[in-house]
Amino acid sequence: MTERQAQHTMMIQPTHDERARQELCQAMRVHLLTDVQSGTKSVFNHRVHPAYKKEHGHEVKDRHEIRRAMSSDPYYRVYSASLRSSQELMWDSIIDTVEHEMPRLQTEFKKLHNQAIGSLTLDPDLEIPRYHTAADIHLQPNGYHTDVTENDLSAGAIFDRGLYMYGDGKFGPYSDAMGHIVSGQIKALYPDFSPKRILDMGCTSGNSTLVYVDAFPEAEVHAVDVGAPVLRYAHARAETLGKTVHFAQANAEHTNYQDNSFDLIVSHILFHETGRTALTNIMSECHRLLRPGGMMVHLDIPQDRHCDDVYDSFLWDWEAYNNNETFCVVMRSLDYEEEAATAGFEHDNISIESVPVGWPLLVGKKAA
Amino acid sequence: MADADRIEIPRSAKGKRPQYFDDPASDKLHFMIMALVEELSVTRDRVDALERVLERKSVSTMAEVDHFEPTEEDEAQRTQRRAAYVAKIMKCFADEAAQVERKDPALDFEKVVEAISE
Repeated sequence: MTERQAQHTMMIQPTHDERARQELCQAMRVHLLTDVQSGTKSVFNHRVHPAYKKEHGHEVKDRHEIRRAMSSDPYYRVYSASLRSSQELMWDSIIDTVEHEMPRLQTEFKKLHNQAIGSLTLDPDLEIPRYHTAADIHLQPNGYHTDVTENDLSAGAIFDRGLYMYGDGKFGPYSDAMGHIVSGQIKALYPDFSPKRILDMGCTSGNSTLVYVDAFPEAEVHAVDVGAPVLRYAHARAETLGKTVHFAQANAEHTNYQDNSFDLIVSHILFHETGRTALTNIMSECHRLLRPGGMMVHLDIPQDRHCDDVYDSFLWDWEAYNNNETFCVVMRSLDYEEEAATAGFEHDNISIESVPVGWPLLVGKKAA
Repeated sequence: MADADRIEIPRSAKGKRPQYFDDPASDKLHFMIMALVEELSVTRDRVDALERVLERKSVSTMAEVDHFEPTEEDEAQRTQRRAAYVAKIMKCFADEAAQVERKDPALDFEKVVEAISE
């Protein structure tokens, strides 16, 4: 059994029925993503693929052909519609709680902010990039960036609860497993590396960010995101958990930090929520911000070429077509090494490491 | 909970919802079933919680529940709860109406990719 979500001042407190609703959404997702999803593979192997071969005279070549073939299958349709609906119901069940918790959260925010050990710097003039405004990523109403009221922090409160539910608690009680995976891999690969200044890009509610405060106690930890309401929440959450982090509202493509000002830049499943040009810009920005000898380390979902089975690769694309994680499908074909090289990292200083969950970790070291 | 303090958060995610079935009405019926599944589970959890609370307090209640007479205030609260319940089950209509009102462009997936990849 997974651990319960950790409780702290900024954690929303659902009523009995709200909790029951949230837990049911979680239960539906688990069932769909295990039993029902494995059934889609049987349907493909036994029904859809044989019919496809008969009609086209050849086997499916890639994940895109599987998607086109599966899209008219009744089992897959109901699976997709159910997973989509459960995602919508999940956010709705969380918003029920956040709506009545907002006054309390805003009061707590003020108290924590007034005695802060870290900091929060917002930029009301920041232009929110098109990949956030075009559609609400993973169907979270209002995205990460929309203030629905003054001094809003609803997006962060909604996201923090949603992240735990989406992962069915597998990201840990603080939903910070990715921070542990990345920092753990950095320490395993570079035991002598001791960064003094760290930047986490696309931090949202700061779950992974806080890991670096403990993993590198000598370091000053900074974090950026484009969304003000997620940053207000992240700041208050870090404060109540007693972790010193400097949060700033900025686009990871073009931040206001000085050249050569960080030893380590990390991101945790940020890439797939950006866009084609943005990805190139983010890597160039990492190169600009890193001190000579510094490192960028980015974790994201498996690339198409990392999947042993083409059907598994097709399943990873579900989020792109059904959950507004649109860029996934393009990103999963990109060559990270080439992208990093274009951004100025030397080929010999770029590597793709595999982390325990089998996801790719892009490491780029700036020439000393 | 003080309703005056309650901040309303818009519930409809931006971006056109895929159509999964040949008849769009089926998409709505399917969503309503999913929401009913959720609400039935909530109700069962609530009855379960009630039974456990009453049992812990050693209250015998079967007859009381069978002959329960709501007061006017009880009735008003129950009516309000039922209205919220129905609105939740029919949320798919509110979503479509919001999309129509907002004039969310009927972008197909390829066009969205193109738009964010400029």
